[in-house]
Amino acid sequence: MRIAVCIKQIPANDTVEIDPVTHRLIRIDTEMTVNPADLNALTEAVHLKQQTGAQVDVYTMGADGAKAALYTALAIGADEAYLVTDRAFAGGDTLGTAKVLAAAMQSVAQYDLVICGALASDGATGQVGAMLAEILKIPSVTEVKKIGETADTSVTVYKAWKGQLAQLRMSLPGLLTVSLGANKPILPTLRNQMKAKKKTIHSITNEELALNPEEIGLQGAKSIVTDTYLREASGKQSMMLSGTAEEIADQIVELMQKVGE
Amino acid sequence: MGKGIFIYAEQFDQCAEPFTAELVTAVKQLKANEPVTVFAVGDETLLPQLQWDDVAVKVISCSNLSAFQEDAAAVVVADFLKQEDPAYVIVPATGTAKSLFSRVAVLLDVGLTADCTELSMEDGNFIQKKPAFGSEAMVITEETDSPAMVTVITGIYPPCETGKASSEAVISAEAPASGVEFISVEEQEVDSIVDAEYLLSLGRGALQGDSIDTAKALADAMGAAIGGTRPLVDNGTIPFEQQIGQTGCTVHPKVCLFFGVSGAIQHTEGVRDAKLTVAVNTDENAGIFSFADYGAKADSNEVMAALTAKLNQMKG
Amino acid sequence: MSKKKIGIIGGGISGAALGYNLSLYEDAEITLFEKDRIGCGTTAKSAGTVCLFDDSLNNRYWDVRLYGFETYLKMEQEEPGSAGFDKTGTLVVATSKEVEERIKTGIALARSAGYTGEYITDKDRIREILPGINADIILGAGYTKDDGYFDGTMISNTFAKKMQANGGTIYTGVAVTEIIRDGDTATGLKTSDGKTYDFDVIVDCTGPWSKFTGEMVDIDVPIWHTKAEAFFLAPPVKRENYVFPIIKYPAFYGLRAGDNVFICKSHLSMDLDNPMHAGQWDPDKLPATGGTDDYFIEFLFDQMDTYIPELADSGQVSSWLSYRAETRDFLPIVGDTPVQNYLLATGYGGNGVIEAPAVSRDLAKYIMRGESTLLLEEWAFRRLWGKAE
Repeated sequence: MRIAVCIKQIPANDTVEIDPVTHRLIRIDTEMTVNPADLNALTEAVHLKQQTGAQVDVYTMGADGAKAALYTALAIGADEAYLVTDRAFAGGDTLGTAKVLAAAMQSVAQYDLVICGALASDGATGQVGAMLAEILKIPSVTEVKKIGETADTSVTVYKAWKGQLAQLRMSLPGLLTVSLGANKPILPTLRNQMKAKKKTIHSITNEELALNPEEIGLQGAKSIVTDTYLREASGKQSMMLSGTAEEIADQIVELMQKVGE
Repeated sequence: MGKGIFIYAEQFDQCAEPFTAELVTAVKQLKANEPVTVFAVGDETLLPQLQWDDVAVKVISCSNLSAFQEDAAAVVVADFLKQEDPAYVIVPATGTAKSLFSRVAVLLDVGLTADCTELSMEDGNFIQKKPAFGSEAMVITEETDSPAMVTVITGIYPPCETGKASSEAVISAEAPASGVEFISVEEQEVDSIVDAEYLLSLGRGALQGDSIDTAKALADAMGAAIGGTRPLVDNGTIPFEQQIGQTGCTVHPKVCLFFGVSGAIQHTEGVRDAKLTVAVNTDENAGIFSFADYGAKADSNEVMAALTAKLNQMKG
Repeated sequence: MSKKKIGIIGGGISGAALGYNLSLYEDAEITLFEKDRIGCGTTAKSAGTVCLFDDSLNNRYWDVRLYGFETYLKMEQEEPGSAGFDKTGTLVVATSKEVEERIKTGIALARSAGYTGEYITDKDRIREILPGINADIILGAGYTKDDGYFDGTMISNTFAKKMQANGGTIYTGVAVTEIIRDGDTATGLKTSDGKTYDFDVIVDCTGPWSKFTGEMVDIDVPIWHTKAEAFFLAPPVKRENYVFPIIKYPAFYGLRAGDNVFICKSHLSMDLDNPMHAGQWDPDKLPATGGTDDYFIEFLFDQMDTYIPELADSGQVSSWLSYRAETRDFLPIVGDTPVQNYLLATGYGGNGVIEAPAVSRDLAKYIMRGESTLLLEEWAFRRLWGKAE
């Protein structure tokens, strides 16, 4: 079995400012980390590797700095790492990203299983996985909590659905997106981080993929961001509730009811 | 450029999801001077459930399609939309609908703008507002495709009152074979604080002596998991697995109530993306009050007890 | 009775401890300004170790260490948890004759104050205290059960609360934007909320920020920022009923954080002239988590693999970077500056939690009564004048 895992680097912290003149986003803190749900996805893949002896390849799209995410993935247990990188890929929307990732995977191998994180904590669109599956013409199950029995031709999975678990069987090749918190992520040990640093990261550019630049990246993006603004002023302060313990409790219940449904 | 606005109505077991009515409001508020159609994949029993004034309803009837077969459903929906050629498609931003329409977007080769919170029509341009960059910022986007497909977060627009559909139609379709087979639905055991929707986060101020019994009673009443800060782990009140923050785990609850938590960054760093955070602490200078959405300067145990009583009373 | 009006800039351990000590004088009127929250900056990233005999502070100042430790012990006794004390004990490892000598001196001093302490050469015993240690390459280790680590954020908040109880005022979320001067004398300050305050004395307790607050009064505060790079590790082996002690090696130290281990590079092993470790940076740009350098993983791995191989197989849970405010001689800057009535209590480096109680006690007395102490003389700004560059 050969498994591909897609991961994404996201900002570690949410501190952003908007330039008042250009309305461009300024990141005060440029620290990056691997998207948490992707770590759950990778962990599922490494567990399958331990059970079935599968090979796990990890992909990320981004500039050179995204290599850090791939080194982390190698330290966690991926076998090979691919950096999908080209100016033509940058600035794309989810569809553009899915097209590039699909082409990159197809250029390397026929994968039995593709695993992605259910959504990225920064963009949180949760679309790339399903789009990837449609481009690859394979079935998909999104928001998987648990992977059950795995055979050569199918895999049993449990999907979170309305507070319950839906048990589904998906034929292979297929694609899964794994929910945040689906498992306890495998941590990269210091020793494995040192070993990972000695590994080669393969680069895939548009020279190999030869995708039409008009269909991917910024040029291919179907929705245009026309303005950006901050949601709330920084220096957040809680809205204070007051009254007796009972009165405060009533207000909390009301607040909970509002977000409840 | 196509014509009309189509709203996707999600259903399970032929029960239409109630939030479709919110999307109808969102679309009516556009005042777009375009015909509006609600469509669903299911059978004719959905028709009476999808009735709004001046809104047409179309049900794609597909006998060989079962739930969760997004690969096959996408083909059916894409074929339908190609046929109908709408200008805009509005989709609820639920996990299942997003997966389905991600596939539909590929089949139609159009974009899909995710998680919009506000739709508007300005000078004939379809404008969407959506959170971005970890919800800290908002962006305004425009779609360049036809149809322009967007998913809209539910719970924002008020539901539109039911009325009488302008027309009704059932369209038969044949779904291609799916690679997904539905087996069963089972109860999910909430086994960790990591996937809990409701979370009580306890600090030293939530203790009564060494006991967290008050908090446990509240957790039972709320169906919440209990997490806590380092001092509670160190003194053995809660196990390490339940510690939140730098040294423990990151949690993503819908609602997180903090009791007696001072709010050192080690702790608040561990709580991300909650829809509602409320902090109760006797110290008005507690750092948690710069983190939580709502705060109350009060005794944690008193509020927990009052909250437990209130919730139990509501359950009857 | 006319009161002395004192403004404190910064609500970390330095400002909070000073505010409390000043509030013990009934003729002091204290206002503390914190631009964020009490104890949430550098203090929050402090490991909070206050060990009876390690190398964090020269034995010359052993009384300062003891005073800090006992202050927090009493705080904890008064209200359990208010200092966040975790009594784990400390193992200080001797890797050379020189270190061994210092440990033995520290043990004598600790015992003199009535605490336990022993120098152990029995390697099996050392392995019992720290399973996973490579005991073959060390000379021995000093051990005490009596100390542990505290929580700087909780201590700061406790001091702040006590100061308020004594009538002090705290403004959080308010930054000081300007120091008002009359010639060479500081007379007041302006804040980000547009207010102006008059003070008889202003004390800058802003730690790594004092480089920048100093610019408001044209003082070149001779501090460098060193990188405190901390890692949270999940050890591969869990031991029932085992308490992981604070461990001190010359180049790093560690302590428990739940079932995990917190490891940080020791501040005295820093070279202020090496841009890899030290410089003058903007603490406001520090990420909340992460931000550590690649070289540090290598450094940490080498240290772990050499001294505690088991920890080299630990999973990395998270990391953070913090800036310490360090002077050339790694001692703080306390007291008068060239600007009249503008004082400093900064440059604590990695020792703010240890040193703040004794320094604040002495500095409060100096501010209120004009009486200096031996400690204040030794840690005066004067010693560094003309040596800034």
